[in-house]
Amino acid sequence: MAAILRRREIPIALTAFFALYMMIVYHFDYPWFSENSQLTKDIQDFARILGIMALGLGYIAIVRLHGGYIARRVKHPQHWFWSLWLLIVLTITTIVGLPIGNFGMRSVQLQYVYNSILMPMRGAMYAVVAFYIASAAYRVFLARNKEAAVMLILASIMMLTNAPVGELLGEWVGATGSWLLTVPSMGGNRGLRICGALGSLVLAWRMITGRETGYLRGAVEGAGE
Amino acid sequence: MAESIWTKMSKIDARWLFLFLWIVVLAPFIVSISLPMKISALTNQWYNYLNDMPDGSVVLWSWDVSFAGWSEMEASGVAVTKLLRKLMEERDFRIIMIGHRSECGPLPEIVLKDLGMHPDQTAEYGKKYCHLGYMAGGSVAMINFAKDIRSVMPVDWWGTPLDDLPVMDGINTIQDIDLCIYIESGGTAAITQWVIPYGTKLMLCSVQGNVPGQMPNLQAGLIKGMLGGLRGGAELEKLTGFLGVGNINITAFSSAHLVIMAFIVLANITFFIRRARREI
Amino acid sequence: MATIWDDLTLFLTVWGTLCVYSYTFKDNPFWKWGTNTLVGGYIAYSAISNIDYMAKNVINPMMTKVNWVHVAAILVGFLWYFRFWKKYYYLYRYALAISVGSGIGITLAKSVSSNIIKQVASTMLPLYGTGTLRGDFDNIVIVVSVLSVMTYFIFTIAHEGPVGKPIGWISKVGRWVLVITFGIDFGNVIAARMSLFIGTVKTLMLPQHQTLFAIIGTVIMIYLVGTELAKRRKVAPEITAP
Repeated sequence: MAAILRRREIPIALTAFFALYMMIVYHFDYPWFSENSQLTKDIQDFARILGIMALGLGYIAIVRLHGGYIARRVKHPQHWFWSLWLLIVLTITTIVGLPIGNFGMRSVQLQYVYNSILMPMRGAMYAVVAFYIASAAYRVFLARNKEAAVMLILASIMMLTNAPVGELLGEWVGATGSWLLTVPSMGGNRGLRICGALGSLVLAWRMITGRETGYLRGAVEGAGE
Repeated sequence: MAESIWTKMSKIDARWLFLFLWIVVLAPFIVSISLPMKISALTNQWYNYLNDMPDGSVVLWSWDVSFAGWSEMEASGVAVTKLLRKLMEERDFRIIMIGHRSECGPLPEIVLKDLGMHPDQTAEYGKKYCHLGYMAGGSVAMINFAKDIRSVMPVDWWGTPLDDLPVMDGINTIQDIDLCIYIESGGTAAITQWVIPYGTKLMLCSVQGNVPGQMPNLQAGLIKGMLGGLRGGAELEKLTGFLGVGNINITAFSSAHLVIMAFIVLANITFFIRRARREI
Repeated sequence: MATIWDDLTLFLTVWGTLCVYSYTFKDNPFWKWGTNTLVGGYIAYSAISNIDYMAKNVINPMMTKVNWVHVAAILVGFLWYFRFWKKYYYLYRYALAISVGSGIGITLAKSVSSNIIKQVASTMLPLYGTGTLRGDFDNIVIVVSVLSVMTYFIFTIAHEGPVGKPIGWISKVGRWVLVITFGIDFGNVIAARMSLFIGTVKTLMLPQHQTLFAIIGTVIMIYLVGTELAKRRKVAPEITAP
C-alpha cells in the first residue's frame, strides 16, 4: 500500500484532474456542470479550506529550525540565544492571538503586538531597500552604453514626473512622463504580459501532463527519493 | 601612484550616502516646505469615475496591503475611506470592507478607529458600512465570495452575522456590488476572479511600482481607474480636501528623488571623467 | 490615560524601526534582535489570523449545521503536516497536488481571457483616422511596441535569411521598447521604495516619537560608530607593523 501511495502518478493525476475540471467547467453552463453548480461550488470550497489548512507549515518549520539551533547550541554558540528569543516572541504572539479567554485577534494585547512590532518593523524591513537603491544609484547606474543611457534618462524623467519638484521645471516634464507611461511603456508591458501568459499556459500544461514535477519534490532531512 | 579625486569619489563608503539620504528625507519634516502639485490625469479619471456612480451604489472596499506596503499606501487608504464616508453620508452609498491578507483585518480597523467609525465608537456601524475582516483562501476564496458572500464570510470581523447587518440586505453575490475599489501592494487576482467572469467594475489603488504593469489593463478597460502610490494618495487628498499623510510626506518624496538623481548625475560625471583619463 | 503598555508601544515602535535600519551601517546585535523579533511575531501572527478565520467562519457555523465538504477538507488538510514526518512525508504531496491543480485551473481559465484575448483585442487599434494626428501616432506606437516586444521573445528563428532578417530588425525595435519599458518601471520602483522609507520616517517624526527617536538614534549610532572605530584601531597596528 505504501509503495502505491509513494508513486508520483497519483498526485500528478490529482493535479491534472483538479486543474482540468476548474478550467473546463468555466466554459459550460449546464445546471449540473457549470461554475455555479453545487458540485463545482463544493470542489472549490474544498480546495479553499485545504489551502487554508497549510497555515501551520511555516510555523512548524520555524520552530523545528530554531529549536534545532537551541538543541545544538554547543555547535552554534552565536545563534542559539537569538533563536531562543525568536521562539519566545513566537510563543507570546501565539498566546495573545488565539481566541481563548480575553485574548484573540481583536484583543487589546494583540493590538499592542502589531502596533509596536509588526507594523513599524515590517515597514522598516522593506524600506531598507531604499538605501541600497541610493547606493546603487551612485555605484551601478552608469551610462556605459546607449541602452543604459536611454534607460537612465527615461528613469530620470519618470522620477521628475512622480515628484512634485519636477513640475518646477515646466509642464513638459509631466506631459512627457505621462505619455511615456501610457503609450510606449504600456505597449512594452502588454507585450511582456501576453508573452508571460503564454509561458504560464505552457508551464501549466507541462504540470498537467506530468512533465513538470518540481513542485512535488519536497525536502526532508535524510530522506532520499 | 596616488588615487585621483575622481577614483576616491567612486569608492566612497556607502554609509555616507545613507547618512545624506537620512538628512535629506528628515529635513522636510523639520522645516515645512510646500511644493505645488498638479493633479494628474490618472487621479482625475479615478475620482471622476467614483463620483459619477449613481446614488445608492454599493462599493466593495477591498484591502490587500501588507504592513510594509502601508507606509506607501496609507495616504490612499485613508483618503479613499474618508471619500467613501462622505459619499455614504451625502449620496447613500453602501460600503463593504474586506481584507485579502492577514494584515487586512486589523489595518482597516485602525483606519475606522481613527475616523471614529469603529463599532465601539458609533452606533452607525452596520447600517451603511461594515468590515467583513480577513478572507483566507486567496483566489479560490474570491471565486466562492463572488458566488455566495455568506458561504465564505458568514460573520463580520467582530463576529456579527451578516444577516444582522442592514448594510448587507440584498447583497449576496459580487453581482450585487456596483463597484470594487481594490487597494493592493502586490498584485490582484480581482481581474481574473471578478472582472472577467462577472464584469465587476474595478478601480485600483496600487503601489507605484505596479502602475506601469497595470496600464495595459487600464487601456483594455479591465480596470476603470488607477491611483498610484504615495503621489496618487497625495493628489486624491488635495482633490477631495481631506489633507493627510500624503501631503505631509510628499515634500520628502521630492527631496528623496532629487537625491537619487543627484547621485546618478554625480556618478556618471565621475565615470565619464575617469574613462576620459583612462583610469578605468 | 496612557498606560505602561502604551508607553512600551511607543518605545518599541521607535526602537524596533531603528534596530532594523541599523543594518545599513553594519551587521550588529540590534539588527539581529530586530529580525528575530519580527520573524517570530509575523509567523505567529499569520498562523493565528488563519486560525481565527477558520474558527469564526468555518468551525463556528458547523456548530449549528455540519458542512461535510468542510469536514473532509479539514481532514485531508492534515496531510500537509506529513511533510515533517520522514516515514510518511510522501502523503503531503496529495494535499499539495490538489492545491496546485485547483490554483492552476482557477487562474488559467480566466487569465487566458484577461492576459491574452483582452490584451490582443485592445491592441487592435485604428492606425489612421482617429481624428487627431496625436491619436494616430499613439496608436501606431502602441501597436509597434506590442508586436516588436512579442517578436523579441521568438528565440527559435535565427535572425538570418529572408524570414529571419526582418524578424531580427523587429527584434531590435522590441529591444529598444523594452529598454524604454524598464526605464519607466525603474523610475516607478524608485518612487515606491522611497515612499516606504518616507512612511517610516513620518512615523518616527510624530510628536510622541520625536524624543525617543533622538535618544535611541543617538545611542545606537554611538554604539555602531564606536565599535567600528574600535575595530579599525585593532586592525591598524597589524597592517602598519614592519
